[in-house]
Amino acid sequence: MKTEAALRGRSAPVGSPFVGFVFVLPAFTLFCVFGIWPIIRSFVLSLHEWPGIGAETWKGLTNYAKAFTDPIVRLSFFNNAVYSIGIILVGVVPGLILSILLVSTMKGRLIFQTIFFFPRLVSQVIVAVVWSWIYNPRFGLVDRFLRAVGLEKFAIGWLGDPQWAMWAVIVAGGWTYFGFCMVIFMAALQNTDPFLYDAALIDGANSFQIFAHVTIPQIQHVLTMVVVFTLIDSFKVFDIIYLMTSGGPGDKTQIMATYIYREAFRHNHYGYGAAVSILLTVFILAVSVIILRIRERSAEA
Amino acid sequence: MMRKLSLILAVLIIPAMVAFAAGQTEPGQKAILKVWDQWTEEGAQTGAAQAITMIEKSFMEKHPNVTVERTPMQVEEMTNTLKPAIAAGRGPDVFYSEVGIGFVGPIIQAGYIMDLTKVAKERGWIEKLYPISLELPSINGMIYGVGHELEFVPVYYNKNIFKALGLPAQPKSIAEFEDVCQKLKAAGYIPMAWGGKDWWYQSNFTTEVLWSFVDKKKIEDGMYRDGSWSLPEVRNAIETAFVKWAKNGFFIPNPTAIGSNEVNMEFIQQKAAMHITGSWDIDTYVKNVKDFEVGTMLFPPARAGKPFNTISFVGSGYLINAKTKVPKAAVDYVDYVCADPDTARIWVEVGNKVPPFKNLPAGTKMNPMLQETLNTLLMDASETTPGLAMTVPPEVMSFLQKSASMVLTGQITSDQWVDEFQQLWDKSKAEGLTRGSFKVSQ
Amino acid sequence: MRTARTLWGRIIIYLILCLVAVYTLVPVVTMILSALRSPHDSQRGPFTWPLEFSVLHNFRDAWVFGHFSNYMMNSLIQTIPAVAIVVVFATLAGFGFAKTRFPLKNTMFFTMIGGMMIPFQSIMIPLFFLFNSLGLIDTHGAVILAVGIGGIPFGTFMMRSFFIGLPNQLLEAARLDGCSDLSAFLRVMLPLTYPAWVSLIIFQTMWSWNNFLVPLVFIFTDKLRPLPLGLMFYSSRYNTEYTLVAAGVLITILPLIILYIVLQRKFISSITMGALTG
Repeated sequence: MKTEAALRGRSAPVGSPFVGFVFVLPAFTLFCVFGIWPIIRSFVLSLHEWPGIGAETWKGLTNYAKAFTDPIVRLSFFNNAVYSIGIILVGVVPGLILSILLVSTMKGRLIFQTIFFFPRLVSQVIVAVVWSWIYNPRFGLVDRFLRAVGLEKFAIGWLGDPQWAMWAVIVAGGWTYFGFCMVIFMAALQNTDPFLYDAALIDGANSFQIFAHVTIPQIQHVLTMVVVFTLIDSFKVFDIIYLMTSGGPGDKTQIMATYIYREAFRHNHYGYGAAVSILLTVFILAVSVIILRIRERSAEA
Repeated sequence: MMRKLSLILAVLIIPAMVAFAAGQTEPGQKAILKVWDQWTEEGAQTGAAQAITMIEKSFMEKHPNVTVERTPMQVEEMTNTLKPAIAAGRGPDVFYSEVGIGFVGPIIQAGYIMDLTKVAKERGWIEKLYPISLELPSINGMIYGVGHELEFVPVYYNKNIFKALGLPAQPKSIAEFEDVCQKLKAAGYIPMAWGGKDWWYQSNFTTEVLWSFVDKKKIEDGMYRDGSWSLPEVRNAIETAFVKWAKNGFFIPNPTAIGSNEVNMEFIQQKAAMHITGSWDIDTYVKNVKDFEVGTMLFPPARAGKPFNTISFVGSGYLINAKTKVPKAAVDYVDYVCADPDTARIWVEVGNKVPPFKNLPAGTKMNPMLQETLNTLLMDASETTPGLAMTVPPEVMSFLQKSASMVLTGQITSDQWVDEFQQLWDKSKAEGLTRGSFKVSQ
Repeated sequence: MRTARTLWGRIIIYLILCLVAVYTLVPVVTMILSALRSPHDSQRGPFTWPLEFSVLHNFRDAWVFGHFSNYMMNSLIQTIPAVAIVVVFATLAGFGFAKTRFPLKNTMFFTMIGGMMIPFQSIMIPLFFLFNSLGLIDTHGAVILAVGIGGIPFGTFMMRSFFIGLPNQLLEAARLDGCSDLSAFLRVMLPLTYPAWVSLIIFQTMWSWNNFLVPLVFIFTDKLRPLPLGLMFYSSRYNTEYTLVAAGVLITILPLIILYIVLQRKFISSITMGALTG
C-alpha cells in the first residue's frame, strides 16, 4: 500500500510547510471564528439557563441531566431514528434498485436520469408546499385517488394523523433523495467488472443471485458510504419537518432539531436548548468516528 | 492565465463587496424612530397595514423632526429576533408584540422595558383607553405596555343558512348549541368551520370552551393567582369539544390537518355554517364574503343561566425600549397610535379594528359586522375575560397550541389533558413566569 | 453494460421506470399547470385538469406584487459571493492539506471535518450575537458569511480529495524548472482544478440557493429576503390561491433548472465524483 502510493507520488508532500500552512490558514481561521467559537459559546451557555436576554443563571450539568430524563428528548431522538430508517427505505433502496434497472437499459437512460435527479434541486420550502397539497384531505391527490377507487376509509388527513404524519413526511423527503442515490449508485455500477456477470450467467445464476452475490459486493463500499451519510444527515433534518408539520400533531413528528428550536426560541430555555444541541452534535460526531474507524479497519483487511 | 484568474476573482468578489456595502445604513439628520410591528400586508391584516401607513404619515407631518422607520414582521420572526436584537443594542425603540408575562417577563427583568405608569397618568391614557388595555400589560403595579386592538372571539355564523333552517340566532346553552349543530349536520352542512392545524385555532377554541364551562372567578384565580386548573369543569370542557363533538362530526373532517385558509374557505363557500374565529377576521369577511350575511353570536355557556363569557384580547401591545435614545418620540408615537381620536377613527374605518381609545369621534363609520360584534358583547349577562394567550407562560401556551389535536386524535384523554396542563402551569410557576409568581426584579 | 436480455424483461423494466418517472413528475407538472391556469379555475383544486388559463397574470402578480423580483435579486446577491468564498478558501485549504505537511495538519483537518456535523441550531444564537457586534444582522453579509463559511468544510474535503488524486510529478517538475511554490501552485495545479470547481460550484450553488434557515434567522425585513424565505411567507399568506403560489414556486426554481439543463452531465458527474472520492 505504502509503496504503491510512493510510486504514484501521491502521499509524498510537495510544497513547503510554510506555504501549506498559509494556504490552510484563511479557511481554518474563518471556520474557527464562525464555527468553533459559537460551539464553545453554546457549550458554555448549556451550563447556564438564559431566557434570551438579561442574566444567565449557572446550572452546571443539570441541563444535561434533564435532557436524559426528558421524555420528549427521547421521543425526538426516536423520531429522528424513524426518519433515518424511513429515508433509507424510501430513498436509498429505490435509488439502488433504479440504478440497476437503469444501467441495464440502453435507450432513454439520460432522460430518466435527468428526471429522477431533478427533485434534488428543489428547495425544501417547495417540497413542503407541494406535498402538503398532495396530502390535503379536501383536494389532495392521495385522498382523491383513494376516494375514486372506493378506498374512502383510508382517505385521512395524513399530516394531521398521529400514526401516519411522520411517514407522510418521509415519503416527501424520499422523493427528493432517491434520484440522488440512484446517480451515485449508477456511477459505482459503471466501475464493476462485466466479466463477473458473464461468469455468473454462464454458471446459471438467476437475476436475484447475481444481484446478491455479484453486484452488491462490488459496490459495497459506496453502498455503505451512502447509508452512513444518510443516517447521519437525517439526524440534522429540520426544514422539511418544520415546514410540513412543525413537530405536530402533538409531538408525533417532533425531532431533535425542531425541539431544540422550540425550547430555545419559544420557551425561553436557551441554555437547555444549547445542551440538547450539544448532545445531538456529540452523538453525530461519535457515530461518524465509529463508522470511519470501522471503515479504515476493513479497508486494511 | 493570471489575467483569467484575476478576472474570475474580481467577478466573484465585487458582488460580495457590493453586498456588504449595501448593508451599511447612513446616519440621518433627523431623529430616527425604529418601530417593529406585525402589521404586514398579509391575510387578515391588510386593512391594518393600510391604517398604520396612514397613521404614520400623519405622525411624521405632526412631528417633522422625527423619521419613523417601521419594520413589519411576522409573529415568529419577532419572537426570534426581538430579544437578541434588544440585548445587543440593535433593537427597535418601539415594538408591537405579545404582552404576556411569559414573553416579556425576561425582557422586563433585564431592564429593557420602559415603565409607562407615570406616562399613562401624564398622557391621560387611564381616562382615554379601555381599562383592559392597560391592565393586561401591567404587573406588580407597573404598566409596561399599551394593549392595542381589542379583539373578541364570538362565533360568526351564516345568517342565510340559519334563517333557512329556522335556527336560533343565539343559543343560550351548550345543549342548545349542540342541537343547532345536529340540525346543521342533518341539512348537509358542516356545523363548525374549525381546523386544528394552525396553533391559534387550537389555543383560541380551547380557551373558548373553557370559558364556557368554568366560572369566571375560578378562571381569574387560575390566571392571576395560580389557582388550580384541575377542575371537573375543565375536564368536561375538553371532553365535550374534542371528544364528543369530534365523534358527532361537528367539525370539518380530519380537522387536525386543516389549516386556517381552508377553514376560511369552507365558511366563505357556505359549506360550513359557523366559523370559530375572532374579530380579526372581519376584514376577511369584508373582502371575501359576497353572497351571504355574516352574523355574530356569543359562544354559549355550559348551562343556561350562567353568564356568557367571551374571550377578549388586547391583540398585542405597544411597548417601549427602556434604552431608547429617543424616548420622547417613542412616547409620542405610542400616544398617537393608541390614544388619539383621529387615529382611532382610521383604525376603525380603514383597519376594521377596535382601537383601545374609548370615545370614538362622532360620525365614525364602523363596519356593520364590527358594530354587531360590539353590540352583542354589550348584551346583558355577557362578560369578557382576557384569553389565555394573554396571560399564560410559554410552555403552557405551547401546550394549548397543540393539545386539542392530541385529544382529537386520541393521543391523550381529557383527564390527561387536565393533568398535563396543571403540571406545566406548576412548572412555569416555579420558574416565576406566571402572573402570580413573577417578580420584576430578581 | 449488461442489458436486459429478454423482451419481457425489458418491457417490465421500462414500465417500472415510467411509473417512477410519473411519481417524480406529478408534483412538478401540478405546479406548472397551476401556475398557468386562471385563479378562478384553480379554486376547483390543484389536482383538477385546467380549463381556463391566464399565464401572464399569475407570473406578473408574483413578480411585481409578490416582490419576487426582489427575492430573485436577493438570492443572486446572497448566493454568488457565498460560492466565491467557498471556491477560493476551500481550494487553497484543500491544496494545503493534500500536498504539504506541517505541524498539526491532521488535527486541523479533522476539526474542519467535524465541523460538517454541527447542526446549525447549535451555533445559531451565538452566531447571531457575533454578527450583531459586526453590524451584520439584517444585511446580506450575514447570510453570505454564514452560508459561505458553512460550505468551507465540505469544500475543503472535496478539494483535498481532488488534489490528492493529482500526481505530484507535475509540481516537482515545475519546481525543477525554478518555480516558487506559489507559482507552481498557480501555474500548474490550478488550471487542472476546473472540473473540480464545476462540481464544487454546483454543490454550493444548490445549497446556498435553497437555504432557508439561515436567512430566516439573520434577516427580518422583506426587502432582503431570498427566494425560499420569500416563498415561505408568500405561500402561507396566499395559501388558497394556488396559482400565485405555483407561480412563485416556478420563479424560485427557474435559475437552478436553467443551470441544470445547461450543465446536465456536469451536474450528475460532479455529484458522483464528489461521492465516490469520499
